[in-house]
Amino acid sequence: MNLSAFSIRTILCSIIALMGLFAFILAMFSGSINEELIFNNQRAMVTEMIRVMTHEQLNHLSDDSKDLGLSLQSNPEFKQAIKAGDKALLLKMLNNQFHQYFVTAGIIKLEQLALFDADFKLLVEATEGSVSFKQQQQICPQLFDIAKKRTGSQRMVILQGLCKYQIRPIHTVVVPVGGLKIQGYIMVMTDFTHNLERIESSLSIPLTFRLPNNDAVYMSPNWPSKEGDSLISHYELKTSTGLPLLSIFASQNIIELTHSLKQSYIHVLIISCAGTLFIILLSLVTLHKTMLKPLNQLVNKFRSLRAKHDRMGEQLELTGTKEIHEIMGGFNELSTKLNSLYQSLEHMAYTDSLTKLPNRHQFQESLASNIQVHQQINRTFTLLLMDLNRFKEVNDTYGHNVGDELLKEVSLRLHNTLRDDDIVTQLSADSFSKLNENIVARLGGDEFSAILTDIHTAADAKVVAEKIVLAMKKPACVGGHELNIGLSIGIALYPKDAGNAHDLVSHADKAMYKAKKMDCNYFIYESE
Amino acid sequence: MSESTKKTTGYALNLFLITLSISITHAEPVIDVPDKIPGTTLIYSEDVIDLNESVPNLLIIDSRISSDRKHGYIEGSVNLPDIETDCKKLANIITTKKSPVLFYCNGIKCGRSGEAAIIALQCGYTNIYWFRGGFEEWKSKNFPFIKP
Repeated sequence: MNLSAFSIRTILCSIIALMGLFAFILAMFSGSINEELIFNNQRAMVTEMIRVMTHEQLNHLSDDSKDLGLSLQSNPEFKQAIKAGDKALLLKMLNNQFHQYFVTAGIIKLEQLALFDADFKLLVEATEGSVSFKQQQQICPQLFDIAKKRTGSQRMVILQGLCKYQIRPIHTVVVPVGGLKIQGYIMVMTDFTHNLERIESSLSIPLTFRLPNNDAVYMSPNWPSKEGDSLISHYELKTSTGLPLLSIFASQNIIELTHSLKQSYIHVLIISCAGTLFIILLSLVTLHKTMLKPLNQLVNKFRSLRAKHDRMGEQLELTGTKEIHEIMGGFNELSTKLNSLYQSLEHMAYTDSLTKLPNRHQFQESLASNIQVHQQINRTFTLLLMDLNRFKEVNDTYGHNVGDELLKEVSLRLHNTLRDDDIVTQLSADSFSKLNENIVARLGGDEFSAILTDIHTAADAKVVAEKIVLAMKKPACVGGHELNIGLSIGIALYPKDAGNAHDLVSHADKAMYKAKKMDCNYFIYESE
Repeated sequence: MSESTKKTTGYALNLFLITLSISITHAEPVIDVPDKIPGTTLIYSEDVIDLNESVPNLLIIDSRISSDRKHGYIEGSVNLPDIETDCKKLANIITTKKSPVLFYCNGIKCGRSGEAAIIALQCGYTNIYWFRGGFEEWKSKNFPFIKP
């Protein structure tokens, strides 16, 4: 990804917005995770309550079945019938139990009563339910085996357990008969789902009991038709050997819970959104103050520098963080150094190193500028081109050092003459922007020029030329030599003599050569 | 002893008895039931069943009062509350001084069977079994009993 295409503000704002979005998504997900956790806890709580109450009911059932067995075996008539082996009477007594207290009071739902001898041989059985011991020899094979294998005092222990007959869940209690001298066993088999139905009223939650094949053996009349608004908890009851026996389902109406969860979820979302927005704003404000604003200043300064060189050297106000301070301080330092370097370079580029007068480059720029300005204001200015007479001879005779010194003397006299008259001002460091002012320049070798913006007529130009000639009249003492300075001046006026720089220079040049040829010090260009 | 002295002594005795009854009513009853009684054999529920098979003519005596017995009792046991137990009544139901006899009551907090066993010891019975855990232990181990 090319990050250079984006500003730091865009990147930071994007990162903060992404963080905000992440926080929002996190809040949303944590809301649903929280909801799921609450539902799971609710399910686990109800399942545990069902487990506890189921075992409580089964304990009650065990006690009730045991009581039934004990009360039966305590009956003297029953004892007598066992002793006498009167199966008919025993059967009658067993059958009677289906119409007595424990059954008629709805305490237990008796499925079968069976009487065995001490060796577990079936003597009689009574049933009014669908379970028949004759059809299926072993209703509770595990319990039966345990009971048979016992020895000594253990044979007297009352056994109980959960079994599966075909697919139906059965609760069985084995009560020894005959007191300390065992004469047999009564097996009390009950449908315990009847007892488990009581859990529903205790918990006030609709219940459904399903067999392992998913057949419902009990379904509460209040069981919801639509399970979407309900939280279903499930507890599986197993036999002692771990076989699934009965699944107990509880349905909790969670409309109110869901509603309150949604409300709290919305509150959390609003708070998190507001918090995130606040943090985003705070971050943006902080970033703006500490980084973005100072960086923008820096960027703007760079842009302005690129656009205008004269703004180089301007300083930035130090703001922002420590690092930004350091960058801005560095920028200010660099800007100062660059400005100094630039000015020195500029000076070198526009100044003649020997005479310190503006060079040809600056002259050309100044001329072009003056033409532009004077064209706009429709005014006249004068161009002088000057050349020393027999300068080559000076060089050849006295050497280049003397020649250079002579040039410096000529420059000084030209400058003084034109300055004295307030005609020419030497280009100052900042005069680059004031190109319409007078200028005297060294064009190279012994050639000089002057742009006189205040001279509008040939007559005035002539006066200036004579002043220059006069200034040069006095011999120059250079290197111990006394040298006469001869100067030829060519004069051309803008726009009278030429409308452009090239022609104006060319005409002034022609005039200068004419003056040199005619040995008349100066000549004003005349069109042929 | 004069009549007035008798009266005063009577009042004092009455006052003492009233105070005693109040203190008994308000204080937790402390029954000092020993862990074992020398001269008797301490047994548990399983031993009761085993003894019944191995020792012929074992007599099981329920030393509880009749109201307690209504909650159930070990089949074959004879009810003789400890407060009614004496040598004569024991002699009526136990064949000889060497005959095996077992005492039980409600449980370890019930001192009746211990009291009765001590009386039997004092009466000269030599084959005494004390089922200290009593009916509470019997029921907790899921052994059958008679429900009157």
